Amino acid sequence: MNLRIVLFIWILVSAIISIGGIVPNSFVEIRQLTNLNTGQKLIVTFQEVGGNCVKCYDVPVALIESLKARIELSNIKIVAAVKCNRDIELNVFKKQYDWNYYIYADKKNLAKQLGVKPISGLAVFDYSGKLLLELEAKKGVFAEDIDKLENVLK
Amino acid sequence: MKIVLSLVILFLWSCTYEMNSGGYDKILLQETETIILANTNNAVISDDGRYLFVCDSKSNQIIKYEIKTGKIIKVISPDLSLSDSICFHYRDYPNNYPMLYVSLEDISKTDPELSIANHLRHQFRKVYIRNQKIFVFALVYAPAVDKENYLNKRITNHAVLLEYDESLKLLDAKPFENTFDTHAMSFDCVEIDGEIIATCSDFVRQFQNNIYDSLIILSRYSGDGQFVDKQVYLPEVYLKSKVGYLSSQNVHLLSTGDDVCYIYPTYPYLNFLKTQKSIPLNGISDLNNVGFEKFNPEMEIDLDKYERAFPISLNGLFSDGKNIYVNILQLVFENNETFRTGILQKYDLEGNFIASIELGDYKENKIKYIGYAMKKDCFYLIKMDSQIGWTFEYVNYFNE
Repeated sequence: MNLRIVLFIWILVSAIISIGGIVPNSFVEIRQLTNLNTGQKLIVTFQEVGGNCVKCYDVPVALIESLKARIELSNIKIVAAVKCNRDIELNVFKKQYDWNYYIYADKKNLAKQLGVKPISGLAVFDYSGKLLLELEAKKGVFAEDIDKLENVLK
Repeated sequence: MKIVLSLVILFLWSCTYEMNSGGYDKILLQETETIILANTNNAVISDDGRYLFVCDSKSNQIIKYEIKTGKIIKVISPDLSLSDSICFHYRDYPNNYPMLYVSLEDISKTDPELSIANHLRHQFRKVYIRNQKIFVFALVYAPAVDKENYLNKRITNHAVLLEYDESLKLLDAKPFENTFDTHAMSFDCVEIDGEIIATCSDFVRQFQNNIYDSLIILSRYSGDGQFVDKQVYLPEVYLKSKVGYLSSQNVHLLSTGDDVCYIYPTYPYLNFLKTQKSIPLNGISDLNNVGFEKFNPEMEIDLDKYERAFPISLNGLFSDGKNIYVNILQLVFENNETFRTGILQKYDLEGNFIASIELGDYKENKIKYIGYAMKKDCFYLIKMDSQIGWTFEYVNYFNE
């Protein structure tokens, strides 16, 4: 009897792992928001509603734009996780920036939930939520960063 | 029957107003699709007590509210043309650097679509009122080009004091002069004796050059923004620990009439410019010692560790004309849990401690800004509730 229970738990855990592991709810929300499919990868840029330094927005955007010139982005979804208290604040972000991808209202410190360092400006995940790459996205190391991004996404 | 009906009506009427302990109404601050409050940097009430001016650093607006109704009267955002205020005052870069500040019109000669405009995202940082004029301390980005060929472009940030009339019509823009080792930072400024004391910094250059000696934090400027002299360097504890080189130390300033009082965000002391007094804040002055003693650059990356090492943060400084108030947040550890609690401390204008009150759990009290309403002679709070929105209310503290 006990062996059956252990076997059942083992099968259940294996099934969970095989369909993508136990991922934070926030990542599941982003997956739904972006229609991320198995085999696709996700780029998350960590943003704040206005008022921050210009580079914190510009560098991740410039990285994505440069990436477009190097690789096909059809299997890659891009989302800005915008720190805010209320959904309505996303209107401020939309008004201030010409962002052409998905926007996620980050109300509970998404970076921490996903195991991303607070200093990182951009991160790449696979479908299961596994962190593949995180970048500070600073101007001085742009060339290195774009190479790293290309390597992990191609 | 009439009595019952009257009681029901009275009950329903009382439910339409949310009263606080001081007996004042809570006023909902209007927001629209495009005018949204996201982070109240600071706020100020007009001399007649009718209007509230909120500086929101995230939505990057100054919003003028009618206090009685909470309705928006006017809103301003930083205009792109503020960039021109720099080249109108200063043509050459400091230190004989071979670049020139240029106007947007100049830029449009080589860049007709003004693509550079995407990078000129000016920011409003602080609002204050003097002589019925509204002053806004702003961060303004200015374009510059190579002296030789106008091809290489560069963008630099500048502290600019903007002057508006009560209807928020721009009257003047005064950029602060930058020198070789003093760069005005648009965090806070205060006027005293016709001059301006403003926050400034040079930490980038010293950090790059690995020079650890002293860091400028306050400088004196003439009324029109010309640099006069350096006034205050960061306290030694910031230098010994090197905290000052790795974190931005944004100072809060307050004019006490004869002197300027100032506080650092992580140094629990009340400081005075002219008398050079530095007074430990009652009961909490040593709580950040562990941070200064054990600081290392990793702490900046791991925010949790940083906050635990520096449990005290000084968030605001204001006055009722007779006393100084310091708004403090303390990270408290209890039963393996951490939470932030608000503290408001009261000092006289000489810095003598008078009283301290607890404002409760930061998440629960929802207080985002505390100020003093001179006309009403009481405190006011600006709160943010994710369900209700932003509210304004008057309160009495210290049993006044």
